[in-house]
Amino acid sequence: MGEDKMDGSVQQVQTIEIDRERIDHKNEPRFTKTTGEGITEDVVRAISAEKNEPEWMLQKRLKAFELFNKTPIPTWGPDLSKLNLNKIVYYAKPDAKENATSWEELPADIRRTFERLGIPEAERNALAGTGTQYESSVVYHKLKEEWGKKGVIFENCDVALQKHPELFKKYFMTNCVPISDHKFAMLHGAVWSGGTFIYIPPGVKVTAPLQAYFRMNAPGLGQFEHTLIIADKGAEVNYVEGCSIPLYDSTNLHAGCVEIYVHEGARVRYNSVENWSKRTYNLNTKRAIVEKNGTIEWINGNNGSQITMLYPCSILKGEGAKSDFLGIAFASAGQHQDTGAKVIHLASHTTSTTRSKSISKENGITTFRGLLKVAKDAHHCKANIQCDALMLNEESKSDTIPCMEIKNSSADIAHEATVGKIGAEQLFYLMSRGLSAEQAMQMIVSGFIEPIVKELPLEYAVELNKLIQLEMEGSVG
Amino acid sequence: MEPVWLQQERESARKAHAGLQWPNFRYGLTMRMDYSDLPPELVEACVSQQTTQQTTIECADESVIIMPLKEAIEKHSKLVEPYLFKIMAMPNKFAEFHRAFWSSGTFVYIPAQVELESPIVIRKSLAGSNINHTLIVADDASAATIIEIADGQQNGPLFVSNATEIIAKANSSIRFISTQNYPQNIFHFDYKNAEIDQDAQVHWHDCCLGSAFTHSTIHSLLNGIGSESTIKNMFLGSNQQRFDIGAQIVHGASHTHGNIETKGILMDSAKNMYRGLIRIERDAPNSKGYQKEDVLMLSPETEANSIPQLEIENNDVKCSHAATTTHVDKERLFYLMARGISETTARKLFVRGFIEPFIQQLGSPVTAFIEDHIEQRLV
Repeated sequence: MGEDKMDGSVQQVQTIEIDRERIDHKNEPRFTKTTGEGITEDVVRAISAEKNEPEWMLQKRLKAFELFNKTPIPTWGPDLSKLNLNKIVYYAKPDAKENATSWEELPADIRRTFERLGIPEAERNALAGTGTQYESSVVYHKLKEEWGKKGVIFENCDVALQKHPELFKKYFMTNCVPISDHKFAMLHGAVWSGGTFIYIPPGVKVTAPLQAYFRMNAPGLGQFEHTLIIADKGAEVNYVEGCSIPLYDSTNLHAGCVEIYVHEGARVRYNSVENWSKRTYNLNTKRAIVEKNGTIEWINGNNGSQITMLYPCSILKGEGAKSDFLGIAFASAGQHQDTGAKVIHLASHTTSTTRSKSISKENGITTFRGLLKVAKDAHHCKANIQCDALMLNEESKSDTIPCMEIKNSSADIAHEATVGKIGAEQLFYLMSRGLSAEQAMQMIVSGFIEPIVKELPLEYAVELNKLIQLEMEGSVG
Repeated sequence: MEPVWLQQERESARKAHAGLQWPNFRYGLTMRMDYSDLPPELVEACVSQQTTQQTTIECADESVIIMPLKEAIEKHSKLVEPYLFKIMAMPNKFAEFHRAFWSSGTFVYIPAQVELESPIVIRKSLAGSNINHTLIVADDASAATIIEIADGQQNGPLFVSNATEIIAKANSSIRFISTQNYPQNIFHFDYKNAEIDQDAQVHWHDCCLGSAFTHSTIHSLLNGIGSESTIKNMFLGSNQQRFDIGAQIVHGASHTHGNIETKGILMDSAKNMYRGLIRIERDAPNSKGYQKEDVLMLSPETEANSIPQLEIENNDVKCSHAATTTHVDKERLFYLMARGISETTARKLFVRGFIEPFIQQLGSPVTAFIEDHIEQRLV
């Protein structure tokens, strides 16, 4: 019985094809507009003018830029001293029509990129809506008609600003992630471009996932897409985000921002599998405000990037609000994954669970940096944090830094963490059943991340497995 | 006249102290232990207005050298000089202050192969502001239990700084049991450090009961292969008491074991900050580290903060940690009260159940003392 199971798994491991080309294929960058390297007030004005934005947005950008200039680079986390912000291209509009609703309208090379990444196929099979961003512009964006009829808004953020100015002004970088939040939120506020705007009307439950894919193609580029999700009372939505970039010698920067409003009784699931290249700085902000009896679920995979700093945050503002976080981080040679989760219990009877798994290989560094806060007036809150770290090599490094700040005595808080390696006995057990050392190791790693992977939509689960497998290649001997 | 090396030691500490900012005890991104009610003048006053703590020492074994630290510097300079202030974690504004201006203390030397049957008991009673230093050198294969009981009736506010250094040489074993029960108007800074050689062990048991504000760090450095350290500590806070408690074990050699277990009870408006750290360095394969912190919050006004941190640089290790925050919930109280037990007694039983495993490890006479103390404090 046990053996049957194992045979199945072995086959599964073997049949996942390893296809680096899919991600690393580069197109010749062709821009119709770019601001060139570096950032000045003129760059900020140019981006705003290019998008024909209302005055308030320009002022907001300029204010953010002013704050950005005044604020030093944070030093409490990974080493950002090698990030040269003057070498980044902050805006580049590719030579393609924006917001196409049919793949045929895209230039052939860009279309092929997304085909290689499997996006049109996923759209046909499973998705309620799809958006794809290429460099600084959203090149394809389409919502299936049935959802549009129910009042669901699924737009490129640039378009949403024009079409739904009231909603936008109310929610964009106001209460959730204000432009003054931190250095890279300020930068984002100044140069944001593209991204996704989702509004689900009260009571509408979107049964198929909405997906966005963010692709950087050009070297030295920065991507600053903004995601704004508003689930009105009793609404439900499942949002999937993927991202990738081919590997270049120069540094890329990703400073996105995700703001989610979960209104009373609503439920939002946010899935993200990030696979930026190992020369990318991923300094990202994700935050949700959850009202009464609302639920936010985060599923977060961090695989790529040279340095990641990302701590999705749930603010449980209404009674009975709930946060569920699942995270996985994989750091191989030269990578530092500094990730974690923040949960702030502001109201009574709020609950949160945080599960994080990290794997460090070679000299990769994984850091779990968490914050759990229970406010004074939040009674009977429950929180559970669990983080497990797997270290594959002697040079690997793993840090766990959970901060817990409990100001109400009726809280029930539990935190657990473990760090370890793959046991020689485990390897021996599998190898004595005919697996090679590499296969055995892959299988143990797959088992370690299984609880997270099984929560992902199928194609992302496969993607994540593939990515991990790529990373695990050659880890033996 | 103090020897030149000690004068130089004090001078370098004075300079280091002057060059450092007052710490703000900020932890994580948002946590902070407030000690703004301690005016810097009260600390500085300590330089000129120290009163030696009344110290009595019980030690049954005559081969042990045990005497005031200043006397030991005169009589046993060779035993003191190589160790004094060599293992305190620097730079630190308050620790440098301590190193520069300490005025009294105790020196304990346990010769090689000597195993003490009964514990050494050091009783210290506050008589005013004081900086007190304890240096313990355990030579090869020696073994001892040292109990330190600190209390005092002095009216504050006062600044008091205590530090303990334990040098545990190969194969030695030291158990250091300490209780601190100062009045609740004392600002107490406490640094406990141990450096532990091959196959040696240092076990700390620390009970923080008194003072208005306590900033305490217990730090064990596992320097020798096969060395071991446990830090088991508790704090009991009522009224406005604040405890900023650190427990750190650094694994610097292979096959080392570390274990941190902290229990805290908070009543009234008491607050705590727990900073736990297990650090396993690259050169420490086959090590095991464990860390656990439990806080029982008995009143709605209490606040419990914690950062149980792990830093692991070697993959051939077993390491885990856990932290919980609980309260006395209504069902459990109801269960006991339904059996005819008054609410007060039920609460006390609950607290006893929480803290008992810790207390039992202390051994006499400390176990009885802590039991009585808790009984009196819980109303």
